[in-house]
Amino acid sequence: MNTFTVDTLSKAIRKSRPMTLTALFLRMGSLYPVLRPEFLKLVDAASSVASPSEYLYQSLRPLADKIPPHLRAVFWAGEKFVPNRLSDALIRSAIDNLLTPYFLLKDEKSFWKTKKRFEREGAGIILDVVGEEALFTSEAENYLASYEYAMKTFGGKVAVKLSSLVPSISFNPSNCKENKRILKEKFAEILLLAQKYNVSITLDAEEYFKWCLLIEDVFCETVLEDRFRKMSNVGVALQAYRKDSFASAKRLLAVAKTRRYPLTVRVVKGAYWDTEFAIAEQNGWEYPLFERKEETDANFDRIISFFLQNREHIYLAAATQNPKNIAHALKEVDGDFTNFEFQVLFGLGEAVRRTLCRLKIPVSVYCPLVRQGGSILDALAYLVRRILENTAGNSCLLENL
Amino acid sequence: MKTICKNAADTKWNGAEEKKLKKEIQSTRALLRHFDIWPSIGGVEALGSKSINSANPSDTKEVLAEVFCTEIWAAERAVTLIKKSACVQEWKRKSLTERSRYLDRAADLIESKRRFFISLMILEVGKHPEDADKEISEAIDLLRAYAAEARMFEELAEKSIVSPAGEKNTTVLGPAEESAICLSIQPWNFPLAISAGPMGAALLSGYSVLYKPAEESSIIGYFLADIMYEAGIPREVLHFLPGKGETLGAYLVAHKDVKVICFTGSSLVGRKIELAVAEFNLDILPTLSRKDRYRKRIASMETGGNNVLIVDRSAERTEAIRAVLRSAFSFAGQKCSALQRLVIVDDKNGFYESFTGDLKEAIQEIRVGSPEDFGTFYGPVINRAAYVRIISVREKAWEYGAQITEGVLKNDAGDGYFIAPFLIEGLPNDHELVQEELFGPGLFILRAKTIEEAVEMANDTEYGLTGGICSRNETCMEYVRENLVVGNYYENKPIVGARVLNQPFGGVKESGGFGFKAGGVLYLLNFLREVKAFSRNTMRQGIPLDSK
Repeated sequence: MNTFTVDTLSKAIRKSRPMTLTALFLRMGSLYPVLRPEFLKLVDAASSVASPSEYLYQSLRPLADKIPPHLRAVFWAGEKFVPNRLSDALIRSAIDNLLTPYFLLKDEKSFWKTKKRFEREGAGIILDVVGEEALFTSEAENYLASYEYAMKTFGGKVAVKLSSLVPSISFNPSNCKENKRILKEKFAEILLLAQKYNVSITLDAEEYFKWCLLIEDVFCETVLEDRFRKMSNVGVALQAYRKDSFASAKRLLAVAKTRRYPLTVRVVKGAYWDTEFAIAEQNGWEYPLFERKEETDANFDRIISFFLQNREHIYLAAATQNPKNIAHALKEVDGDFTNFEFQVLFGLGEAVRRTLCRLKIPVSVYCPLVRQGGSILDALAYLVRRILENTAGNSCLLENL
Repeated sequence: MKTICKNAADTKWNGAEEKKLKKEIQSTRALLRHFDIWPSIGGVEALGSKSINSANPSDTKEVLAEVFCTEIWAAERAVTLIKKSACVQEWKRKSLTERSRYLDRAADLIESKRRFFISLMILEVGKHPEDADKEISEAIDLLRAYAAEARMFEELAEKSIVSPAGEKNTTVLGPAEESAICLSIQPWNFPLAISAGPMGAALLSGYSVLYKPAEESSIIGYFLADIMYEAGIPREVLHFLPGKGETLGAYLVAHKDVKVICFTGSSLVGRKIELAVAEFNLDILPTLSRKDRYRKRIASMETGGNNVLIVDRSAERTEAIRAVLRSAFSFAGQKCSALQRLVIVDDKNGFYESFTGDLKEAIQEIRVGSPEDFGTFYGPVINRAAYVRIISVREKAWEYGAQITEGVLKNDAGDGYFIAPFLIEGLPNDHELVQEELFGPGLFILRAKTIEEAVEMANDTEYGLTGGICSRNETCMEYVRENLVVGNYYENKPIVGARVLNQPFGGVKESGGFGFKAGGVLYLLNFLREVKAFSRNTMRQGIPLDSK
């Protein structure tokens, strides 16, 4: 079992890569960096501007001399000969039909279909109700309702974003003590629901300065409460790109040891790199993340090894699609997959999932689902984050596309 | 690219920080309880009379400290001191670089007392700790930026002067006037930053400063002056003169020895100052002795605003709502940059209704109360007069048939000048209530059919300070960028919160337009003059003796 090398893994993954238009699209974004921001802006704006094609032409016109000639010809022909209404429809459907199935599930029907398919192949599913920070109370309540709905309807494992459960307008970072109390209340509500419907809960990772440390406190203090102490199907995500993440790993282990019932930790790399950078720079704060990707990768491996040595206390989910990290984890796991699984992103991690399934290695897929009554608009920030990381020059995913 | 100076870091909030600050507020309160604020003239803290109580706007029963107003004769004494003191001459003779060190030191001192100043602002003007924290960073940045600029200009003056063989040329930067006295009258809404900026720039340029803070923020003014003294600025050079604007302010503006004025405040007072300056130069100047005939001038002046944000349907909803709330309601709208008119572009697709619907829901989330409760969005308005004025605007608007949506004011808000946020719809842009600067937690909502109409509406005001648009439509953004008449323009972000060296701040039309923008790289030139250009013939007997 422990003969996986990075090379063999990469080869296997490459073999099972899906050839989709979206992959091509992403590849284009990474090949021509000048198109990348325009492409992101288009995805962001398409649903809200009157004519996305007009929008696209306008944003590309000033860049004309930087675009490779064959693409320029395509745009020029599009602008000249295709009626706007037709190209609008094309762009909208491209974003809707090409992009979304590659990143997220649009409705319940596709969720059930996907779930069945994954289960047949031996992969689990983690449901993520797509959403960002809530603005006001009614929005926060809607999110809570959609979490409850998801737990009731789909069961299994559900990812929860705590920041979507409180109205962020009245949430001042300086008001720490009160914020923590409110979040603890919300988290307790979620845990009670989880008990009621018997589902697993993992708290999602969030923005560093405003949420991250607060959520960690909330998590650690709540799971030590008597009423939740015995729940072992509760977990939290830990971002390996944080410089202080190893300290957090130690803290989580200590908490698990104290409560004497295991906790789940999903180790991820982190998806807010660019955002955190901007926030830190705008406020004059020290940058809280590793600046080089290799450092994050190394830290990821370190945390995985750390938790794997403490498997009786921590259920570990290694969320990565990077063959190097997978190979490292497999080496540490050493053929014993108790309390361990890999997690990959829906769509983007498809090749990795297939490979791991074929090798009978436990893997779950993180599936973002547009919430009941919600729209694709809720998912824009998620989409942009994913596109951003997957069109970056150093993306490991691109090697697999 | 390397910047000339780095912005100060804001506080990183966490539980420990919150606890420390709450403790500091109590100790500051205790410190102030037995504190009298006196004018500080040449190192003597006395010479005041007729005290005013500086009350906590969040709790009208709480008197913070007693402030003794400067007597006219005492102010006169300050002027005499400046004219006579050798210390003042020495200050003037120092190089820009030498003087800049004092400002850097003052900035460091403010940084070391950050929590103390936050506490002062919470207590004296009712500012939320996060806003206060940002203002303290701004004060520090202004001092450091101007200090860096001073060094930059000195270097520039040195490098740019050409001296051919046989000639030695230099140029000296400094105040143009013989007795270089600068009067600085500053407001209560940014009691630290807006006071520190002009004061610092004037001191740097070699002026002596008569500093008159607003009555409402005399305590903070006192502690700012105190920091400057601690940083080593001689007490003969900087004088702290608390008092009333109508008497003390007016007297000093017209004073024959005060030659440079910087002012931030209402447009009305600004105009009065302009008139006084013009009258002085026209009528008084010719009567002065010939050696005293330096003209009076306004170095920098920032006045009101009636600012606008345009939102179109392509705007990102959450971002736009956040931008509106922050712009209109932070510090209860008591900023010259605050949003007063929200123009929604709606081409008959229901965007107006949906966006205002969201806003109405959003203002219900805004908590108003004492800023000692960190969970509030904003605190009280500054005083009883402001309270009455703002409430009466709301009532008048109602009488005119406007539709008013109010937020909630919880009972636990306390006994202060608290006003719930309100939205006013249905008044036309040219209505007097819409046109007058509100300076409170109210927002007028206007509707336009096209982006062109929106911009026309936005520009139809006597002011031109801040403005912006929330949109993802590049054409619209470009149009607004080109055509909106404002000094500070923002896209997809709040129209308040300009940062030093990031967004140099200042308006056009009635909003100011005197001098270079605050927090910008040229600001120092409002004070600094190329006083004298020296040129010396270094040849003797037709031979250049110093040739290389």
